[in-house]
Amino acid sequence: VLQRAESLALGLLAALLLVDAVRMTPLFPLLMSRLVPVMSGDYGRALGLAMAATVLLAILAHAGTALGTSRNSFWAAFSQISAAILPIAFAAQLALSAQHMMATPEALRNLLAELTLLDPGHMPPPTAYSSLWALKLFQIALLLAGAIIGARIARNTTHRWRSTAYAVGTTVLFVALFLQPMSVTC
Amino acid sequence: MLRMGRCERLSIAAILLTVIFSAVSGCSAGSTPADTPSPTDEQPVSGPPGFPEYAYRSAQALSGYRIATARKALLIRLPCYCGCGRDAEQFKNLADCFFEQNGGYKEHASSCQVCLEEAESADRLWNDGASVRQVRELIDEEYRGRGKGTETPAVTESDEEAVRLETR
Repeated sequence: VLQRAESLALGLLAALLLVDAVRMTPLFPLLMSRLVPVMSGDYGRALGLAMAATVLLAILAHAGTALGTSRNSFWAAFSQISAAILPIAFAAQLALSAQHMMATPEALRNLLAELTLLDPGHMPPPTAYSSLWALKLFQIALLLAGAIIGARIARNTTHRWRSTAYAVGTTVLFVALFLQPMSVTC
Repeated sequence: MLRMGRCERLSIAAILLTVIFSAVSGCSAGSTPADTPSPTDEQPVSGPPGFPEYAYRSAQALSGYRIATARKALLIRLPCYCGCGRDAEQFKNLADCFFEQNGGYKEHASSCQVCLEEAESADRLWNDGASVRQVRELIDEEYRGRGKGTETPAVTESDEEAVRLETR
């Protein structure tokens, strides 16, 4: 289905998208407020550790599912799992892009203010996080579409319930994150 | 033992490099000193010990709140140009972006680039040996025009002495 390098790259992409999605939610400052004191107050080290741990765990989950579904070749199963994840990763990327674009008016306003072309009033929005229901509906619809396609690919390629469950589970994780209020300031 | 071709080894290397880069870039960028506030610090600290959750929104936010805690006396003498001056009741100076009237922390600055940058600039200028008046002039020069500034009184001689004593 996919070459090995592509499979690995997809696993990495899904992990990085997960990191970015968490960063956009109020879970992120909550997590950092617990980690930074443990890292002797070093924010950078805490952030690096959290990112590295998330990426490693995601890759391990990916590999573990491949091991659980492989009949003969681990890499063949890994490739099939990655193919199932591809539409979900694409949907998550689109959903995150839509969220970032919602911050565009704010970013443009800040830029014009820094160029003193605009007196914007309050620079930050009243709240850093928001839940625009229309945007949320769009994001959830994207993820569900990705899940349906991913589950079909998993069923058709591996014929094992574990890979379908992995695809669905990944989507559930992303949906849970996107249901949180998300930042409109970055 | 899994047999891997060159492509797989390169991909695994790429993943490992990403993980290492995440860890290293986190260490090198946005590092802040471990000076979490404590009532036992020499500088007077207003507000409860420890920072609220929103201060951890970014490395810059955490740095800003640390600076605000350590340099509150200086920030009180500086205007804020983020636009909060439109609400003259709540915002009279840069410190009001970080602290409530009762001394507790305020969320406003945690997502305001201008407030955080002003605090960083003020701290840097103060550490470079600038007087309160000089810091005020440079802040005015750099940030005026970004938004309606707060109506902060001009710096006087007594302010210079007061800030020097409170931030020693």
